[in-house]
Amino acid sequence: MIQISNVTKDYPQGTGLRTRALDHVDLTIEPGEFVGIVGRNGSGKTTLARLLNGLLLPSSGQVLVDGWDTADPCHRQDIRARVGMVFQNPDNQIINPIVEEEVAFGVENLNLPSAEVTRRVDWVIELMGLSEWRHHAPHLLSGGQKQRLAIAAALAMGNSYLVLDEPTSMLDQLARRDLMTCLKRLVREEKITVILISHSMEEVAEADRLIVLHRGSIHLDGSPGQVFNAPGFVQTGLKRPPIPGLVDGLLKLGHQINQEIVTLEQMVEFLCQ
Amino acid sequence: MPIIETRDLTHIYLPGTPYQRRALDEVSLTIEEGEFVGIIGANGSGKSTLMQHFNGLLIPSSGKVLVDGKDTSVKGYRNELWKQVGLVFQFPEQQIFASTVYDEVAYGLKKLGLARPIVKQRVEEGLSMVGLDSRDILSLSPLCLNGGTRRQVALACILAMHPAVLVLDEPTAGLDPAGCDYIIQALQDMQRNHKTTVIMVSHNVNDLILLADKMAFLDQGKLMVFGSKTEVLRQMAHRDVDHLLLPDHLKLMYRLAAAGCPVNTDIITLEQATAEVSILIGESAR
Repeated sequence: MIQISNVTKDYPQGTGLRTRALDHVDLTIEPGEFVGIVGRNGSGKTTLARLLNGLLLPSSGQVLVDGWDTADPCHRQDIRARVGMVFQNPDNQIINPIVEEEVAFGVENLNLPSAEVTRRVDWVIELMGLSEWRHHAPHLLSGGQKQRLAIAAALAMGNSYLVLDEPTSMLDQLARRDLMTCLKRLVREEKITVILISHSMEEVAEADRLIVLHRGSIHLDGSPGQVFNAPGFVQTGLKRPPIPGLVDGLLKLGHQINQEIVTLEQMVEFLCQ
Repeated sequence: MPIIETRDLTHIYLPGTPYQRRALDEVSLTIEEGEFVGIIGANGSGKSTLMQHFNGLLIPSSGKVLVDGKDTSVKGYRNELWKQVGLVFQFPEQQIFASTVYDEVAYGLKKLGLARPIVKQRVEEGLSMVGLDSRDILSLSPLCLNGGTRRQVALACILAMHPAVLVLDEPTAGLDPAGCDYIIQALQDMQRNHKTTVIMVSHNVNDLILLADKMAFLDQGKLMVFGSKTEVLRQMAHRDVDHLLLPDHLKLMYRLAAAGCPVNTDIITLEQATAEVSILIGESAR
């Protein structure tokens, strides 16, 4: 469980237009949840993500990962081994010349028996659909494959929480769909807790829980259906994705329709039943 | 009057090597002055290659590109061409280098040899076109701005140069919805009030549907169709059975049609889709 209690994060003066990035945030993320986080540029999404594994420390308040305080240097290693991070541009975090070496790099430094290292590497490469590229150079992979490689490297560390900060902004539609399929599988089958920050409302509609950050505070928190249909949603300057927009339009025309329908699949199922 | 014309434009990368690749294959299209043209296609379809031909950054392997009637492969024309056609690359904020927002936007203007008061006026004008108040940010370092604002500054740099043609590669990628709106409004303003020809490359149909007068659909280097939005959307749905490039409300129409529901797939907006579904639900309720 990740517990954020009363966290405020200030950046030093002179480094931005707004210096308070997070303002007294309380948030609990349970193991196995698939949480989407949206918000405008500068709403504090990336700051929040970086607080989750101690890359940043709160100015005040506390972040606990499975009971460990991220501000406590004694447990930083434990926390990093639990909470993996994947960023917007996978090229920024890939450092090895061969795909399987990239995956093995972090694991080898955990002082594990080599059989265990091999087992983990095999498992994540298979899981992320990279078997075919195992002996290839990462720079020859497509953007989507690179992003899956970055996830594989994080998972190999034994992470039970995966934080992804706009992982799809540089990907095309096909790669986006593949990545979302991978993430859903991680949540359902591997019981990984996934925290997905994205500007794509279609993507976060697939999550179990959706959080809207606005000016450093949690503005809305609930199921995607509740959040997209809340009056406060559009006020934050965010846009409803097409399907909830369509549901809203149908409600206004006087039709009876479940507001929890947020994805294309759910809508097709509803209309074709 | 046509402002950009390509005739059988073919582009081959790394010709004569094992990596040789035909990125554009005999593309012919004519863009009229003042039009807003959307270019759409999957990754690797040749969109970015095509846009780089519009201001002579790339020269055709065969065929011709004419800007304002002049051939882009003629070297003497380059300087004028670059003033006429402004190119905004993907993630243009990454090419920002000056120490203040003012210096960044003024850089290109000074290179045009404009007098200082005019430079100052154009900087302010460029920033206001993208929805930024110059009083707030002129003296800030661009590096301390958030990603969306930095993108707006990068776009202001080009708008301040008053290009007759504005070519943009994925200008809204990675921006939040409000950031997208600023960019989109700026582009609409350029076309409507400054009579600028705008050519926008994207793999996001949603943006293009709102803005474009005409759309071009590229698939594996070939121009599949160039024309009205409805025509292009129909072709896209036809070429790609997964309808990956279509927004969800259009995907829904095709999925429903495939399931035998009587819906019209020749629609564009969410409102039209809502109306179709409303009729469908109404019929089944009866």
